[in-house]
Amino acid sequence: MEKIRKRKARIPHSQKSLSSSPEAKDVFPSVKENIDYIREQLVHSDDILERDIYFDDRHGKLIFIETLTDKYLIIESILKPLEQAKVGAVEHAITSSDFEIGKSLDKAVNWIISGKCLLFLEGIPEVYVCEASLSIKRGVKEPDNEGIVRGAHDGFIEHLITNIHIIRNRLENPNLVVRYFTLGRKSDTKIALVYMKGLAKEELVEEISRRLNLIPTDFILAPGFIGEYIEDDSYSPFPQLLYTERPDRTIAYLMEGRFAIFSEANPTAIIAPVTLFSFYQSPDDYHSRWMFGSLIRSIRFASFLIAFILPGLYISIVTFHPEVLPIELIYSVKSSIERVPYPSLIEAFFMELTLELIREAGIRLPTRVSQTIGIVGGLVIGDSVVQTGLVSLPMIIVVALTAISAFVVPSHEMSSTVRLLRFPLMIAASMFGFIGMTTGLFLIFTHLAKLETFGNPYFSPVMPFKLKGFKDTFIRFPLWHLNKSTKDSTPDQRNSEKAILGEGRK
Amino acid sequence: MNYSIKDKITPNQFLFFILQTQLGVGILSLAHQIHKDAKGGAWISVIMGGVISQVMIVIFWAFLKKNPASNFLQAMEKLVGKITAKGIVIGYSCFFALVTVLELSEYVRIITKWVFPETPVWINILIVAIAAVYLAKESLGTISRMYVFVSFLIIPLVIFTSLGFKNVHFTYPMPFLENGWLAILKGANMSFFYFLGYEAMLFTYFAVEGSDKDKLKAASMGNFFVTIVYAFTTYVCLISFAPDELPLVPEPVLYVLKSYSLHVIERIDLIFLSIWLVSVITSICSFVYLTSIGVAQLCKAKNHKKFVYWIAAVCCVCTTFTLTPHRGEILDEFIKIISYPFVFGIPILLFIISLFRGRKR
Repeated sequence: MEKIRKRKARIPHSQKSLSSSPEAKDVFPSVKENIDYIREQLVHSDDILERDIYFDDRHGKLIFIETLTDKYLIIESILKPLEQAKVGAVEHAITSSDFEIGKSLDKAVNWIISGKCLLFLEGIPEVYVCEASLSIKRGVKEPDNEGIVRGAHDGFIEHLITNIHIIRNRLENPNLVVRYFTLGRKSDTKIALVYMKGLAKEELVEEISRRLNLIPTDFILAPGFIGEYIEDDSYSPFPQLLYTERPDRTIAYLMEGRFAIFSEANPTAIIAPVTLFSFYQSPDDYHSRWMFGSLIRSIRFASFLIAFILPGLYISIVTFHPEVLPIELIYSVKSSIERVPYPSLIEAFFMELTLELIREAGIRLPTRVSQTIGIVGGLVIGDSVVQTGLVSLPMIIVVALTAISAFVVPSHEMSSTVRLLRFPLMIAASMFGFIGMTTGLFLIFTHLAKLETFGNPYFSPVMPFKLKGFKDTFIRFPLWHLNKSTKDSTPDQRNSEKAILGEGRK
Repeated sequence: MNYSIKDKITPNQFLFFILQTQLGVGILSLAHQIHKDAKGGAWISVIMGGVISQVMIVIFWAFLKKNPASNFLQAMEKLVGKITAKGIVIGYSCFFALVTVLELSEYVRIITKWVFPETPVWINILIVAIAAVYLAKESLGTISRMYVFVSFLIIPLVIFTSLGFKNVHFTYPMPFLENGWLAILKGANMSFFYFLGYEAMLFTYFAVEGSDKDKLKAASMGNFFVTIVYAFTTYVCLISFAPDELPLVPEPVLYVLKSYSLHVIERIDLIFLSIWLVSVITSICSFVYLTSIGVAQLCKAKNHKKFVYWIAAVCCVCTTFTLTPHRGEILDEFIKIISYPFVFGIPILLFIISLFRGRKR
């Protein structure tokens, strides 16, 4: 595990600065003092509710935040039992699923803002914390950005517990481990690290826990926040963590000894460590017959190459080496280019820019309006740009083909990377032709060769070369074949669905 | 410097390291140069060159094996004492730097002639130098990974060359022994320089994991592949060009490719040049890496990274001075002369010393 690059130690996040009082406050014996203190701490917010209670011949008060708690639950698990019991110990009477007795008032403030219900009794310097939080969640519907043809159609939602429930439900295995972390200095965000004990490398789990604990941010907005703090190389254009909203995909990765990170209020699971080829796999490959699955896989890889090589290749051919093309093709290409006064690099940049504009505009608009964008962008611009002589026809073909290829990638992050990478290649091609392209590609692949995520080579099994690993990269062998090959090379108790070898283990 | 975990490579990676270091600029002009002396028997000369290299690999291996040292400098210190060891490492580092300059200037000569006649020389140098430095500053593990990957490009290289069989006369090079065995030996002496690169063994041997036998096997296989590729291209050139034509074409491989076309791609020579460029980058990268490793060992530095930039910069600047034909020839001759002691003399001497040392123990 020395392979894992030790990141610079960051400042561990300090205590939350919610309470303004410097010294820790204990619970007062007087109910009124307690209530006043809590109200003060919560700046007399209007959604704090109290209710008087009489129990064990004492006056008590129940305090909770109306907008965070389930009123029905309070009635059922707190008020009714207390009413019935009348006397005795509070902990025996209350039927709430989570019950605690606390002494510190500062902690009580944290509890109440996390949706708990607090009970104070006159003369007892203790606070009773009952679970009554309200959870509103949507259905587990298939994510729009990762649709598949066949297979399970559920997806993660913005509720941590539900997400882990889906995983646990599918993966009935005592070795499935869930570890909770709390991140953020100003706001608690609950993070869950999920992995399979025995499949995931112990050092890997230690390393990821260490990195998670060092995240110094105030609050976590998106999984991208976590991703950027824990990834190995922030200066790489390649995504080193895989984001997915699909439970079946997540489970497949867990069974390969990788880990998943879930965060509260986010439907995205972060999967690591991954290789470049993970981004080109889709559950669909495993639902269709293996021959067709392999065909689709290889088409996806072809799209990877087309998306970032084709524009550069075209530019270098028309600028430097038109003689590479057959003579008939040169004539038609040249006659089209002659009408355009600009160098082909400018043409390409113009077209790529238009394309990105159309794409970006289309994302945020409602479906009915975005159709208009398609017509304006695709038909009007595409056609008239050639008519005007701004861009040549072959360039339109090249850019359109590139755009389609870039969107073939099942992962949004990798698709952006591919779109980004073609620009340096286009510049290199316009300056040095094939030689520039070769050098550019050499640099990119060198970068891939040195890139490692959590101690695993990113471009495995191509670099370092492992023939066995190819069974599930460019093509997909039948599943029984994958299982066999995995068992051959791994003596430990790892039975994986896919056979990317050497991952998560030395 | 000592090799860290990331510097450790497997015997297979070692094979490709040797292969990519050997396979460099030379492949384009090999047939032309050897044909000067050996005429039709040039391909025999090339094979003999490969055999000589193989013998030297065994000699290198003989004094490197069973040495418990962790790097070349330490191994030499055990063998010949501290001061001499330092001298040897300095010598080899300079030698590798000179080979870098030679490869660069040869590359510039060909690229200027074939692709960029108008482009300033320093830009041509930079294209290769940037790529080579970017790789050379990485660990040996990363470099070897990359070498294994780019070695797949040798397959199209060989396929393109074999397309040359379309229009050949097998009688052109015959009789093979036109000028007698002496001429062939002379050719072998010449071809031997095209095989330079297995000296990389000296500096990388201790980073390879595995038994001594595996390491020898790997290095030999690397050399064997290069011999095959070189002999094959030479033979294709010999049967494609009449004996009178060959002295007139300095890069026969490219002319062979230029003469025919596939229906999809018309100018295969341009594709070939692009692939050839990768081989050039890898061998320059190797030599820059080896030089920096030598310097790092001398300076007892932690890693070789910071030396790579300086060494590459110095080599690039030196290259610009070697570009007139006259100076180029002088450099060529000079390196030919000094390779004898560095590739034959010193290793054989070390081998003999190690024999005596071994007996004493």
